[in-house]
Amino acid sequence: MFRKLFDWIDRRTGYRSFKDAMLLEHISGGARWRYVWGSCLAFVFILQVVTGILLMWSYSPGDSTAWSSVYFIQYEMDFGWLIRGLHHFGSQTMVVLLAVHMLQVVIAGAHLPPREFNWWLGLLLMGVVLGLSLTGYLLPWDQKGYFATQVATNILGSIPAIGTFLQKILVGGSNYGNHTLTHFYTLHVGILPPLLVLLLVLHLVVFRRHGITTPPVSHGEGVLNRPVAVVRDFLIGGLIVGVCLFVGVHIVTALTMGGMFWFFGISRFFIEKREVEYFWPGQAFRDLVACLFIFAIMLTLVIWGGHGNKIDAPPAVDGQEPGLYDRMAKAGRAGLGANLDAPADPETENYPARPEWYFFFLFQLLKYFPGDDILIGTLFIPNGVMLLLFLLPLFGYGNMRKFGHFFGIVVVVSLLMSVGMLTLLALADDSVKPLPLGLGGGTENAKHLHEKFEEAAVHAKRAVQLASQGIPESGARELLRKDPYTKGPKLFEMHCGVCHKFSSSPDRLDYKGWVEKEVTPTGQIKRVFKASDLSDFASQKWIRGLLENPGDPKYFGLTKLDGMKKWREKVNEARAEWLKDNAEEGKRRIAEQEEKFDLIAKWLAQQKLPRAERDKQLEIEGTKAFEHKGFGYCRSCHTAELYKESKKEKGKFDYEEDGGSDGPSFVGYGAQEWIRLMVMSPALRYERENHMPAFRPIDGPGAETLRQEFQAKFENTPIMPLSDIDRELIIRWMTRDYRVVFGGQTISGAPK
Amino acid sequence: MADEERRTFLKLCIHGLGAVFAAVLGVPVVSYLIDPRHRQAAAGEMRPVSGIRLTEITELNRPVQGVIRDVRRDAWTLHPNDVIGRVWVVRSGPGPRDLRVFTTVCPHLGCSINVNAEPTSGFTCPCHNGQFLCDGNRVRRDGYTNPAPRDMDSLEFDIDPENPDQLLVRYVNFKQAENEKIPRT
Ligand code: HEM
Ligand code: FES
Repeated sequence: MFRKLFDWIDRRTGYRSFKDAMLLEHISGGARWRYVWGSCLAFVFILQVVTGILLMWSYSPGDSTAWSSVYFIQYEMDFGWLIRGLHHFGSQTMVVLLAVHMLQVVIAGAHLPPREFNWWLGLLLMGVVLGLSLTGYLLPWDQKGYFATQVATNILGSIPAIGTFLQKILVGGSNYGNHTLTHFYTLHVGILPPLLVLLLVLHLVVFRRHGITTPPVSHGEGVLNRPVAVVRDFLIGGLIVGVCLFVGVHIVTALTMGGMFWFFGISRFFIEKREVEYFWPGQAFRDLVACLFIFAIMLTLVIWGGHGNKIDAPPAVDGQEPGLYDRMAKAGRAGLGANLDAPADPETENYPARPEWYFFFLFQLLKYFPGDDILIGTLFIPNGVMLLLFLLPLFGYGNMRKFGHFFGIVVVVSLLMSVGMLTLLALADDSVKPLPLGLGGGTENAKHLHEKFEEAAVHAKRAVQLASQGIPESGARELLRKDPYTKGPKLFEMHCGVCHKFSSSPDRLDYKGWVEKEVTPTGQIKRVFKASDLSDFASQKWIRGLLENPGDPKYFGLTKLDGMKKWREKVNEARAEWLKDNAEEGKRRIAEQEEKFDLIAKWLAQQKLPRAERDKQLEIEGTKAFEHKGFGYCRSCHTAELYKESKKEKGKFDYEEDGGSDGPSFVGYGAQEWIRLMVMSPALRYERENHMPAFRPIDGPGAETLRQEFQAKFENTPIMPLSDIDRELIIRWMTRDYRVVFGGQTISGAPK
Repeated sequence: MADEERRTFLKLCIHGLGAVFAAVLGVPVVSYLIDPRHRQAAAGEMRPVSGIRLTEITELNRPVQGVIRDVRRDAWTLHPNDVIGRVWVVRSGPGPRDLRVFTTVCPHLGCSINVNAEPTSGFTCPCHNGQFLCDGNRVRRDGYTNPAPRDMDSLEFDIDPENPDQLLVRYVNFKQAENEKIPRT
């Protein structure tokens, strides 16, 4: 039935003879494992096309969307992490396979006449693959792609005469932006892949014309040599596993890579060698096995060799534990797969840019040619090497052939060794630990750089964490720009830290606090604290400490606020009286007062919560202590929300705002609204005693009106500029509310 | 092993291995492609309608348009306050609750239904000329075929107990080209 259908198709299309032409390639000397590398390259390329098209399905090139769409693929879409991971490691696999393929070709002498064109096409293919890797690295529009790729386009710009022009065309302007992405995207998916396919087809057509290059003694590896070959395969496999484990590759990856060679060895017992064979099925089988091994390596790299960032506590769907499928489909959230750095942000200071590892050698080369010599490293050496490679086949004419073969091996082997060495040196330069054999590393610069890497890693983690709660329309870059957790301390330091200290506390891990007096390189003292330490402001501990000793520099010691200091003096005086009157009774009263101070601190610390969330018992007792004359009599100066039993209805409690107005209000003390008022109108809190400037937005529509109104009321309070967003960032950071500050931009049009 | 047998064996291996590979890659690929099935339509909660004051809608059968705003998630983007739908509100009697609330989405193929130049005469959809009366029923008359498969989609509503001006609506998007109101998922 099917037979008939296929016959019918064949009669009309002739597909069978086409298939035969494809598959029945004649391989003299029989199929061999060593011929698999070219097929592996083609296989990984096809895999790149498949995964690449899948990525295109969800990727969105654009300054404000690229990172977000990659985030979405990586963390939200089912198996997006796997697709992206395969594509990411696929590009690295291709580069490695290229090196292996090239080495195998020169060892076999396959680049020599009459196969020159094959070699040249291969070199072009290599260029295209490197071009794909370079353009692809930018596409996620994350910090590392953004800053590393600038190096590459600046190299383009360094070409004499036409460089600047070319760079501008490629980048789409003088800075990176929307068109850089659309250009790189078009190159990456629309121009280079078809070019690669074209070159690949030509490569294969020319290859078919001359056939595979067989080793000089093509009949030798029969029965006799089999044990030797098996032992050799096993040794190579072992060596690979050893080296991998030594450099710290995951054991599964190491075993897969080594296992490939062990498999070659074992297979020799089962697959007989033919002297003349067709591609199908002998070589096809070997190719397929090798390809699947490569695929297995890529999978293990994605799963165990990945370096993604975890997202904490994925939101539980309907409170149910995710099942096996969900855990696998969303494994990107567990940190599996390719890395995604923080969103590209040109505002970043000193981002430690590094290219993908397989470009390290070019990157390292640049370090040796400073200043005017830069062209040697960027242009002359790389292009010189390419030229030499292009010329290699020409050394194989006539009786030069033996030398040509040998020379080819020497050139390619020494090229690969230099690449390896430069890569190692690049790694060594960045290594915090000194490397053995005097390779370098362990320098102060490396340590400094490492801090930058760590900061970048913190930002990358933070960015995906925030993105999981939703990305603003203006793009993912805003996530970190408006992140209280990372931006808050910097803004605090700049605006508030001039006077206020903010000691670190154990749960603010990335935040180390400031040195009291920082001497700048010019010898100026940058910071002399003039006000309280706001770390943990309005916490129970902070309040209790204030009651204990308001004159401590941590509280009002550095300020001109005397109210609380005088209050404490009175408390101390009273205590001395009590002790003089009756030591026993005095001690008891002091102990009781201390206890009430604890209570008041605890009560006051919960005033920042919404009423419904406060501990009601504490509200009742705190109110009593707050009003009690014997316990400091807070209400004589402060107003608070008092929680008292109604006079009319027994057992019914209600809130009532009451108290004195000499000190700052305790209504919502320490809440964001309280701090906001303190920041924008400190004189409303501390009246004439106040010495803090008011921090207010000074531009945007309406700001001038507000400024004049403010100045009319508080003529003695100077105004310092602080935008709404920056203020909210500081307040959220202080109160440990780490949600991104969405919206709230100033209203404006395009600049005139 | 005879040559033919060996070749058959190898071919079998190739097809077997190929199938395993196709499965290992195929399952994630298909899952990835059908991922949008997880993206749910916004829940039909009671939401306030902005742009209208109920107490000012006094005239019978004169449609007024209101908007419903809420958080909207579009793949990765979070719109904190986006228009998620529009409604036509029509007074049908003197009582405060004598109202009709319809989505502006046409039950035919989803264009937005507009009110007629003479508002009390009802609505017309600009796309394929679907016509509706102020009570949302389809216009039926000789010589005119109404493309709409059902009457305009009415919505459940309520009035804010603390504010007689504030209309609340359970906004739902219904599937087009169906005879019944079937909420979209
Ligand atoms: C043979 C060649 C290819 C190489 C070496 C390559 C390389 C890369 C690299 C290095 C990235 C950045 C990946 C990351 O860091 O996550 C990337 C991303 C991307 N590639 Fe390719 N690629 C190749 C082929 C293709 C093809 C043929 C397509 C589509 C037709 C494609 C589509 C994409 C897309 C859409 C992205 C952005 C999404 C993302 O980064 O996750 N690639 N590619
Ligand atoms: S969409 Fe309204 S009539 Fe067709």
